[in-house]
Parts: sequence; C-alpha cells; structure tokens
Amino acid sequence: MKLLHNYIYIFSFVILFFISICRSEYSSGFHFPNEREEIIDGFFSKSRHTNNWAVLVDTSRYWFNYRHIANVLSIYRTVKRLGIPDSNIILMLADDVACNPRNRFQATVYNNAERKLDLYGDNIEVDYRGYEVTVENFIRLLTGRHLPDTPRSKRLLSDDRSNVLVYMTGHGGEEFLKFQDTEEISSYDVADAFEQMWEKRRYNELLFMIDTCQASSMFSRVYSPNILATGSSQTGQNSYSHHLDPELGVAVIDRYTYYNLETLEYVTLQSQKTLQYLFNTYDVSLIHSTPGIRHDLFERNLNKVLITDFFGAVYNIELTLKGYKLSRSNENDIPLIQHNTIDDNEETLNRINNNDLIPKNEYKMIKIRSKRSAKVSPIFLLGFVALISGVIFMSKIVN
Amino acid sequence: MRRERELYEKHQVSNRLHIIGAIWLVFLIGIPIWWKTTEVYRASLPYKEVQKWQDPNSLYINFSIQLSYILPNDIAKDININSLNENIQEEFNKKNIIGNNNDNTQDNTSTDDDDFEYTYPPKIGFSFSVNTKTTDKWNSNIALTRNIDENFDDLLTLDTDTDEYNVYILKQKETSKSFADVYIGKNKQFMIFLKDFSEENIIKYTVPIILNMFENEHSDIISSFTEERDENESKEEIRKMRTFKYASNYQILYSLFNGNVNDYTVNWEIEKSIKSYFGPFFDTLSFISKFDVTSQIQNFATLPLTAKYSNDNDNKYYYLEAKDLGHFINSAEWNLASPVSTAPPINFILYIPPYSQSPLYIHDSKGEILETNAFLIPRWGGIVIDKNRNNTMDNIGEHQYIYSFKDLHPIMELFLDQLRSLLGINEIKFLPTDLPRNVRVLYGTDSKRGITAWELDQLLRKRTVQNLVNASRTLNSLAKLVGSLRNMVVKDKIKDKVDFALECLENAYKEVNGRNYKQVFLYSKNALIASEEAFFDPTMVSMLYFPDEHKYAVYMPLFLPISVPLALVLKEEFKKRKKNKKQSSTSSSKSEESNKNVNEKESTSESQSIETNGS
Repeated sequence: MKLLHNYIYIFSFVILFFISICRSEYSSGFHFPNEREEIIDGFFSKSRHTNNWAVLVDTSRYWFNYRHIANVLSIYRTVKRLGIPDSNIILMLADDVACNPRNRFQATVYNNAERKLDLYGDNIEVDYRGYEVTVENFIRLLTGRHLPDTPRSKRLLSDDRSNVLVYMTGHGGEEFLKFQDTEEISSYDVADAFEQMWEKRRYNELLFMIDTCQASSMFSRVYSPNILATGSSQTGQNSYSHHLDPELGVAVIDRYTYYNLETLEYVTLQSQKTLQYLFNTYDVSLIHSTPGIRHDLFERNLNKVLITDFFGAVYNIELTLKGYKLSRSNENDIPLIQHNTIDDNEETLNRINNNDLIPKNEYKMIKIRSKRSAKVSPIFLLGFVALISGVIFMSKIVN
Repeated sequence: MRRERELYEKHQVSNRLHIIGAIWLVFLIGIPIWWKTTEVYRASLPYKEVQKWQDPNSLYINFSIQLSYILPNDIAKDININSLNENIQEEFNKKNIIGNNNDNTQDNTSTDDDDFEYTYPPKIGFSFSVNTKTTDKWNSNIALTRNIDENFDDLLTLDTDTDEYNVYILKQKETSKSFADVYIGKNKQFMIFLKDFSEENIIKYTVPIILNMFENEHSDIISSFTEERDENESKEEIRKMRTFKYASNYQILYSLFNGNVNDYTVNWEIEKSIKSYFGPFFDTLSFISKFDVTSQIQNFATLPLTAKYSNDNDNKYYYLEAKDLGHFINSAEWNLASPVSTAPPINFILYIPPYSQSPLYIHDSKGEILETNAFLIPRWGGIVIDKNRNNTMDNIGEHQYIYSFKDLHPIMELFLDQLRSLLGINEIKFLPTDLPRNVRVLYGTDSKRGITAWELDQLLRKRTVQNLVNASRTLNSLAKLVGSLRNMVVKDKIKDKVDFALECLENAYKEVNGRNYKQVFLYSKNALIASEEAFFDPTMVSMLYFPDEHKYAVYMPLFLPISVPLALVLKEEFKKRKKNKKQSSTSSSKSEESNKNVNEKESTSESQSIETNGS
C-alpha cells in the first residue's frame, strides 16, 4: 500500500490561454485603436505554432531610398519589441544610410520628420548587408540551401511549428521586385521558394507582406498552403511615400508601412487584436493605393489570427508537476553506462561529404586539372579540329 | 586573255562553293557543340526507386517483439510449460494485427487526398513471439520480503544486454487486495504478481496488459504523422507540439539568471552536476543524438513581467499566474542564442528573482502554488524559478550564494523531467480503463540513467519510424524538385547521397523484422541525414525563373542575321548548279556558256556582298 502510494503519479496537464477577441465593427476611416472597443467573441482559439521567425528585406540601395530602409527598420523594431529574439530575425539591408555622408544626423535612421525615435539605436543586428542582399541569398535563405560555412545568424532555421513573417520593400513592377539595381526576383521565384519551404515543412503559417509598386502581383503566383499575403497596392497601381524630412531632403517612410505601424505601435504582447483588425484599418484615401490581401490559401479565419501570431512571440507553456527521481550520493557518483557499440555506417556519408565540407572553387570558378583538361571531351576535340581545318581551308582559298 | 579570264572565273566559282561549304560546316558542327557545352549537368537520379518509397504500402514496418516468460521452478512444476507457451502465443496471435486493423480505415480516408503522402501515416505492426523458460535462481516468493523497487529489479535481471522482454511470474503478498499487481521494471522486465498460478490466470493478467502497452506505443507513433489543424487540445497534439524534431545533435544551454546582482552574487557547481546528473542520461542516448552542453551565468536578468503580491494568512509572497508565463522570456535582453552551431538549441534556465520580489511562486490555473515552481516551453526548454531565496532572511550582509551539488539536485531532477518530455520520451502509463479489473500497476524508474530500457526502446522505435518516413518523403520532394526545374544542375554528389539514402532505407527494411533496433535506427538515421543533405545541398538552387520567350529574345539577334544570308546563298548556289547541269547537258555552244559565266559572276558578287553585310 505504502509503495503504491509512493508511485502514484499525477497526470500532467497543459494550460493554453489563448482567448481570441475579435472586432466585429468595421472601421471605415483610420482612427487610433482603442482596447475597449474590442468584443470577446467567446471562441477559444489556439495557435499551433511554438516559435516565430521574421525575414525582413530591404532590396534597394542609395541615399534617395532612405525610406525603404526606414520601413524595414520600423518593422524590425516592432517585431523585436513584441518578443521575437534577434536570433530569429533575419534582417537584410541593401544599404547603410545611417552612415551615408549625406545623412545630416549621422548613425541614425528616423521614420518620422519629427525625429523622435531613432530606429538605428544601439542594438540592431543586420544579418545580410550591402551587396550580400542578392536574389540568390534570399532564395538560399528561404529554401535553407546554404554553403556549409554560413553562420547560424544568417539561416532561417524554422520548423513545422514556426510562424514566419516575410516583409519585403523596394522598387518593383508587375511580377518582379528589383534587388540592388542589378537583378530582380520574379513572383514565380517567390512562389517556388515558398513551395520548397512547405515541402520540407519549414513553416506552419507564413505572412508575406510587401510594400512596393504593384505589390499584389508579387504574391499572385503563390500556391502553397497556409500562406497569407498582403501588399501595399494592386497590380497596376503605384505605392507612395508618406512624407519628407526637409532637413534630410528625402522621404522617410512609405505610406503603407506607415499606416501599418500606426496600428502595430499600439499592439502589446498581451494584446488580442487580430489581423482582420489590422486589415480593416487600411484606408485607401490615406494610403493612396488599394492594399491587396490574399487569404485563399490560409485556413484560419482572420478574425482569430492574432497580430502577435506573426509580429510577436508568445510562448505556449506547460507547468512541470514533478521532477524525475535521481539518486546520487555525491558529486563523484557518476553511474557507468555500458556502451554497446554498433558499427555506424557513417563513413560512407563522410566519404561523400569529405569533398564539400569546405566550399571549394567549384562554386565560383572551374578548377582545371592539367592532366585531364586536354582530353576533356572528344566532342570538344572534334569541334576544335573542325574549326582549325575550316580556318586553314579558308585562308588557303583567300590566298 | 579571254581564256585566262574564263579559267579564273571557273576557279572563283569553285572557291565560292568552298567558302559557303566551310561556313556551313562550321555552323553545323558548331551548333551541337554549343548545345552540348551550354547544357547543365544533371546526374540521373534513381527516380524509380524513389517512387517506390512513395507507395504507402512500401512503408509497412513490422517490429518483432521477443517475449520470454520466466517462471520460477516451484511454480513451473505444477504447470505444463509447453502448453502454456502455445496458449500464450496463440493469444498474442489473435490480436497481433495492430497495424493492419487501423490501416483499413485510414486508407479509405486518405486515398482521395492530393497532398501526396504526407497524410498517410505509415503502417506499423508488432508481431510477438513467445517462449517460456524456467529458472531456479529464485523462488516465486522472492518478492514477499523485499521492497519492489530498482534494486529488486537489478536483483532479478538475468542479462542486461538482451533484446528480449522478460515476463516474470511471481507470488503476490496474501494481504494484497488487488487480483494482480504489475511492476514494469527498468530493464525490460514485466513482473506480474499473482496469488493463483493457473494457466488461465497467467494469460489473463499478462497478455492484455502487454498488448495494451504496445497499442499505446502504436497510436503514439501514428499520431506523430497526422497533420490535423483543428483546434482541439488533445493529448497527442500537445505532445507533438512539445517534442523536438529529431536531430542528430542538440545543443543544451544551462543558464543561471540572477534577477538583481545587488542582492546576491551567485555561482553554481554546474559542471560537476551535469557530469553526474546528466552524464549517464546523455551517454545512454548518445547513439540516438549527441548533446553539446554549455552553461552561463547572467546578472541583471530583468523579467518583462511584474509579479503580483499575495499576503493572505501571513504567508507573504509574490506570484506569477500561469497564463502570463508565456511572456516570461525576455528575448530582447537575455542572451540565449548560440552562434556556434546550427543544431537545435534546448535552453534550461534557473531564475533567481530579485530580493524585492522574493519568494516568487507560480500559480496554477486554480490559483494554487505550484510545488515545483517550474514550467516548460514546447520546443524551447525548461525554466525553474528558485523559491528558496526569500526576503525574510536577514543575511543582507551575506551577498554571495553558491549553489552546491546538493542544492542543484532537485533542480536537476526538474530539468531532466523537462528534457525527457522535450525529447519525446513517453512514460509508460495505463489508463484505468485499459487494465483488467482490479489490477494495480507500479512503474519503475531508473534513477541512475534517467531512462528505463522500455522507454529507450519505445523512443528508438518511434524515431526509427519517423526517420524512415521523413527520409522517403525528403527523397520524394527532391525527385519532384529535380523533375520540375529543368535548368537545375544535379551533381554526382547528389546522386551519391540519394543512392546511399536508398541503400540505407533498403537495409533498414531488411533489418526491421529482426530485433536489432539499434542497427535499424542507425540505418534510418543515416538515410535521413543523407537525404536531407542531398535536399539542402547548396548547389541545388536552380537558375531563377527564365521563361522561354526570354531565351528567344536573347538568341534571336545573334542567329537571325547569320542564318538568313547563309540560307539564301545556299539556295542560290543550288539553283545555279541545277541550271549549270541543265545547260551543260543541253547546250553545246561555247559562247552561250561564256555569256552565262559572266552573268554568274555578277550574281556571285551580289551574293557575296550580301554575305559580308550579314556577318
């Protein structure tokens, strides 16, 4: 009896407190959100995700694109404030306007002409900067195909329980977004990259947010499940900047991002505001373009998706009810464990891998092996002979 | 002079022919060379074999379980051992088809699903083979005078390195009120304590319980593959959410967070403690996953939460409510990320609240103090709040506090429990409804290793199935990817890895019916690693989207100007030859011929000028 008593365990239980509150009334014009307006709809919604990731991309260089960098840094500040750790944020900035000689306020980036909030601050971690922001790196980041020497901070290590926010800004056109003035990413590339993420379950849900001209065209080709997309303008529309800082001489933020931030600034970790609420605040007369929202691939009702599901990190928790009993008399008491060694077949894997642990020239230039190069391929040789004979033949004739 | 001129003209005609011929020759040889040399290299992957694993029927995994019934001689003498063995085997055979039963229903629901094989759970079965032995090492009443615990377990263990599961039949205390007691030991032992040793009784109290244990395991494995997105808070869903995905390496970070360094300076004997408390556990699991352990101390760890104050019944304390604990992690300021490796990190935090908020407790959902003061964050790690530092102590002068080996004992026990559940180690548990009437079960624990042999085997089998399924899915995704992107380079290395993964899959299925779980697991692990390496290889990033129209746009300006004059000249040349032939056969007049030649010369110069313009 006594024994049984000692061994009776209590089942562990889990507490998940996710109360979804939804806003039922539609707000036509923009006004400052008020907590008290929200109505609890009585449904309990629970998110499946355990961690949050954010990929924030600015694709344009140069001083006059100051506003794009301010856009991205504003979102960066928001997600960080809402609890996504720097290790889970991948920030891509194509230029460093803070240290641009034309910047009157050195080492700062402001998103407002009043210059109250320095976005650059003292604690930002840029993962891809300058010319590292390329289409290739962006695709590699999403699909997870990195060179082996890529540091952890440059990788998107999300899993099947991750909610991922992908925010992009830059100059774009119909079905493409320009990177760095030199190349562009098409909507097909984005769609294929998302599909490959889904194939390997690298996200649970994904919010794709893009502030560029003709933004909606960028997510028109996306076909993978559980993706929610929103953009600043419809296909055929331009997106506009919000206002100019006369002292800097450039526009400091784009309209779409500005009005998103108006809402996001009032969101706290405990806030129960939903994405539907955020989308309802979009006002065409203020943004000057019609924001696009695509939710046909997304399963959950937008009324139940909290803003913090993507822009913040709220952890589910589980109370621990007991420890696992261990018996150790003193610090030198280390029980011995018999190892039954089994031949691991890892050598074959290592042999295959041996050649690519260090990124070799093969990714950049062709390595020529002097012994083999002469007889690389008979076809090449044949072509060469034909070419030479042709030339000789012709020169003979001409002479 | 005229004769010379004629000769010269004749010579020119043949020259012209040679020039055209040479250009055409270069052109015709050049095109295949250009085509061949600009082609991307694509190693041919074994699509057929990959396809084979997509078939859900190929993923039928049947584990064979060897059970040994061990009877002490004093019981065995009254029982016909052979008939007992047969009857038990028969009883197991009746219900042997755990896997098949479930699959009939699941197949119907998933056939119409298009999201290929992700919705299929694999078919898993267990087949039992039984043998019965007798032993004279102990009597049936050995349990009467001893405490049934780990030591008793060790005492009865015949061979620790066996792959058999042993079922011991022993005598139950007369005073016991239950019909039968069961003790599930740590070394693959299943002990049943009975008062009456009839054959019928032995079968009645062992077979259903053992079967039930494997049924639970089966449903646990199956549930880890289903992807429902409904909003129920089922036990499986919570378990799936909590458990880390399999990785061959994990990095574990033990952190000591001090709320306010002005109150105490702290230190802990963490190295010794990990070596002693966790070392054996890590060793035991080392062939499943390896663990890199680091530790750190951080001062000034401020909480993003403010604790509430309670002062009923003179018991003054601060507390945090369970629903607020989701915000406990101060991710902006607490440095928990490791830049070193890409292995999944597991965090364990011992938090010391500042003096002004001590003692700090956790309230559960009913508003009562949680005894352990600890909680777990799924796929993240575990947190223990130290409750022993309290503000009633008068030792303000004593600023230093060192957590000794002994102090850390309860904390390490909590961390271990959290780590076990994060790694997906399930305790063997029966619901009262699963058991025969009036049977009580004692669950053994392993206080040395931290994991019992039963649990280790279950974990192994679960991870094996998951790895095999993930490996075949990854290969499928890879085949799909390579098939859909025609411009992607596929290196030989990728093919080698795919071949190796397929070989491992093949071997694993060959071995899976044997009892060497460790070997099968290693095959499955290698298959997974190889397939993932192939899939995530850096060379597998294809050329960007490049539609055919763009290709035409690029090559047209090059080929069109070259090809038009070339074709025209050739056409003209043929025309002329035809004409010449006709003339030489029909006309005999020389003057006419010479006239023709003059004409020809003119046309030749024309065509040549076209040629020069074109090139």
